Amino acid sequence: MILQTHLLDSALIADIQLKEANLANSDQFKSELIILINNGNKYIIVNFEQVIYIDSSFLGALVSALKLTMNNGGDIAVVGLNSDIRSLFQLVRLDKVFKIYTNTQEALTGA
Amino acid sequence: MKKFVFNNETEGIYPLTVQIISYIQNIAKDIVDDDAGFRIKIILLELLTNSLKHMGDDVTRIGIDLKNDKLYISKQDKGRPLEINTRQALLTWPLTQSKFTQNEIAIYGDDFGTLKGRVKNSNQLEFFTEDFDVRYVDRETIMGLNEHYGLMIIARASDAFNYKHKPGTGVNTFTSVIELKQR
Repeated sequence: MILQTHLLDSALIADIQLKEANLANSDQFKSELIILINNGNKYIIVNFEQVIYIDSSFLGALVSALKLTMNNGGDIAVVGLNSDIRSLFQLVRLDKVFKIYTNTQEALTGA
Repeated sequence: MKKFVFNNETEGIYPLTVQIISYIQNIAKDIVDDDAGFRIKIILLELLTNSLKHMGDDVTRIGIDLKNDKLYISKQDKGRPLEINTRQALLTWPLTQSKFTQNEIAIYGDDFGTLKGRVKNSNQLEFFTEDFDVRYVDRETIMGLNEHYGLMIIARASDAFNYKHKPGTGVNTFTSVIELKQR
């Protein structure tokens, strides 16, 4: 499993258990997220704290999952981005699409 | 030009990226700031990822060259030529210009921007992005988001980015250029 999850308040926290979020695991990441969404989780906080880099395949998987969540009336927030991953989100304008928080607590309060 | 060999195994992506960055920092230590460092890193990661997608068992060569404060990062292989299915036509090599209404090709994009290719000649395409200022992101914007970011990332992170196909040898070369600034 790539995602380790637990419920906290009204959100599902999904911790990515990877250092390298890349082509080798993007399909599995997407499948696991889709299962979580289809299980009725509306607000998913994806935690990148352990991830050192993310590639285009993984970004594509995340966007695909966001579309599904929004179709189900939910949303995905991302937390724990290191400075390079945050810069990458900005480069491809995904900082305008995903709610980005420093940590889970901020995401829960919407700070 | 210094060359590095990539064996097209996923496990090799990050160690090789770190190794090449270390080499670049060594040859250009006074001109690689944090922004350039970030750009170099994601360009390398995406070039190697691109290679994994299209290569198979053969090796890929990454070339690094520094000339007049310009850093050239190239990726060379003999895999399948770049194949892009644009809205206008399927790109095959050599490019037939008559397929396109003009020499600029929209490759993919969304409300935030479009990745385009400018045909330099029948065997060379120069990538660039056309970016749009989106002030309000609604559901429709998100549903229309592009899910392919590889070439877009490299094009945005580079000051110039092109692809060349050499018909005789079948060699494909992607070259990214970053203009480094003296601190």
